Amino acid sequence: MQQEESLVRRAQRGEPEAFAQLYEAHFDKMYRYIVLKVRNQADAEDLTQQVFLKALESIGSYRWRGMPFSSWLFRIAHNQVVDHFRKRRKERTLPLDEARAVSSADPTLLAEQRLRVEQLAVAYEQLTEAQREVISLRLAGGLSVAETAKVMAKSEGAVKVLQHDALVRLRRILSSSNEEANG
Amino acid sequence: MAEEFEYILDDCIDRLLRGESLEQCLQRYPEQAAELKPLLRVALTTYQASAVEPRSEFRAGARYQIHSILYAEKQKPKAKRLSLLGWVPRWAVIVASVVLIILIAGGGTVAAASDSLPGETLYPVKLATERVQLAFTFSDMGKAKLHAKFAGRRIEEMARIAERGDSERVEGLVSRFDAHLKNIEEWAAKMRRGEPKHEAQVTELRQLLWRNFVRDMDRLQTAETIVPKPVKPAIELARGRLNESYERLLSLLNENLDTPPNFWPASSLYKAEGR
Repeated sequence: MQQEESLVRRAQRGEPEAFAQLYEAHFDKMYRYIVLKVRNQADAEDLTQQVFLKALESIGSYRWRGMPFSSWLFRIAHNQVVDHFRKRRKERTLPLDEARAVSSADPTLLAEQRLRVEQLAVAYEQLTEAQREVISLRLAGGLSVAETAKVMAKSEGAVKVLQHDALVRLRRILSSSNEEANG
Repeated sequence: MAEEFEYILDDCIDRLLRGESLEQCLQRYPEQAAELKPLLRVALTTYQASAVEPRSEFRAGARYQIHSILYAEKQKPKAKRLSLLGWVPRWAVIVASVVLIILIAGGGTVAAASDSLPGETLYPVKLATERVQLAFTFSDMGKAKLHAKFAGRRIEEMARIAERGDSERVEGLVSRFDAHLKNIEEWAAKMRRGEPKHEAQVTELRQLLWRNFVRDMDRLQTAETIVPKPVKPAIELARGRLNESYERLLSLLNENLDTPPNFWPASSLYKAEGR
């Protein structure tokens, strides 16, 4: 945490190496968070890039308040995603499996993973906006409850409730889709 | 009671994210295990399913773009140091600089030509200078590097010409660009025949070309967003040709486009071109 604070301060002083390190440390997390939300590879790539350009542009105004730097990045990412959907009311989505799942040489495992991703994408769509946000930040972004609460401007208790409700709902949807699949 | 369960569920999710197994989590909370298990399975599935990796081409391109901006930003304060001459009128600084170049290098025309574009008086001087440079470079690798550098210049000229709305000259530049890459192909084929002696040079050339490919695509993409509408098809065509030419050349050098070399944080070539 102390090391990250020092990196942020150096980046604010205009040291490119420091920003580059922050970029490397958070790039994948941001991409995962965004791709889960927009479910379109090309859009996710554009938005991920925009997040870091925006961060670079605004890092001077960032104030260190003891929270991980990623909380701030996720807030930018969230705003970018909201803007994206506002601009494109009619959502055009492609299956999540277009994004590369963590590679597996085994085609059976890969196929299973793709199926899971497709099922998850359908189930995820049926969550409320707030539930989707919690799941994206916690499980795709890897934020703690405290950090998620900060990004969403909610209490930790509220985030835990949303997380619980979202998992119960996902489980229900995934179980019923599995039952349908098995006849 | 519900609060306690939510706390436990959250604790288990944290542990799963840190790499603990589902069974280990359940052993910590045997009383809640039955209720926890299906929810943690869903959490684990979601976590695994969302563990997607960005495409390597995207990662390399995005990294290059942010890197270019970062280092361009870094160069700005250096320009400020010149404000020591702030009391001198700007025109006087320019005149003094030109005179200095002529006195030192004796090549004022050459220096002025280096920034010229097709259709301008000094552009033939720029091309002639490049031919001279090639003639006085004797190693295969040196020639290949020069062609790579000049190919990059053609792309930069293409973008600037397109931004002015001149689509005809864009097409002419595409042919010149192709000619540079074809020259590299010849040298590359020669160097590969001399294996294994030249293996390191082939690798170096491949990495250089990959960097140039990302940079040039980026330059044309940026230009495409701002050029006048009638020029867009010409730029699109140029991007297609650029892609094909680099792909052909990189395949020849045994390059796999899915696994770009890690060039972070190199950007010397980009900067050397004064961008």
